[in-house]
Amino acid sequence: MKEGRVNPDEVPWDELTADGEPVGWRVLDRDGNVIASGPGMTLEMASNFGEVYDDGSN
Amino acid sequence: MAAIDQAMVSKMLNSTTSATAFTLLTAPFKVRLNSTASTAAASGTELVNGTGYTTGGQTSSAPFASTSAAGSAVTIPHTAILTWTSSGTAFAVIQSMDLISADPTRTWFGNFNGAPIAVASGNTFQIAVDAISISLT
Repeated sequence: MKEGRVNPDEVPWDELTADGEPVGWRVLDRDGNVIASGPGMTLEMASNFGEVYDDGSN
Repeated sequence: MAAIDQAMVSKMLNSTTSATAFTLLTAPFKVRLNSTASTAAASGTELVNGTGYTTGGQTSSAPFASTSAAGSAVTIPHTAILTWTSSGTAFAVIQSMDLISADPTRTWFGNFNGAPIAVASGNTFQIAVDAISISLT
């Protein structure tokens, strides 16, 4: 989670998660402050189908 | 667990190994939000219509997806962020998303890193440009 005032229309976001990854999603409060955020999502179907999936557990 | 709808897997396999035609999907493609996890077999439970969420999900400015070249990944949303502002209890929890065409056909799905995501009334949930990467390797 990262806190701070942001411009909701700013694209791309210049933000990183606590783990240093680019922010993929975020929750803003009524005043536009970031109150929660997380990394993006990788959806991948590998040749060994069924074994590679980002289930959000990391 | 895969990240692609199992029916879509069969369509891709059948159309690329036999004469089974692949029926083209229609735009706009939308990101649907769910309060429970999606699986290869089925979507999660979609957020309730109203209070800031419209059944079916949301798209954004074209091009909604980047274009794959030489096997590279595709990213969505590619041009503008997706944003929902809660005005009630419909956004109690966000767990997963599905990518769905206008037909509608479900193609890809995934759980959000950090889910469940609570979005209280008055707060806004956003997905960044190119935040969702989709690939076949």
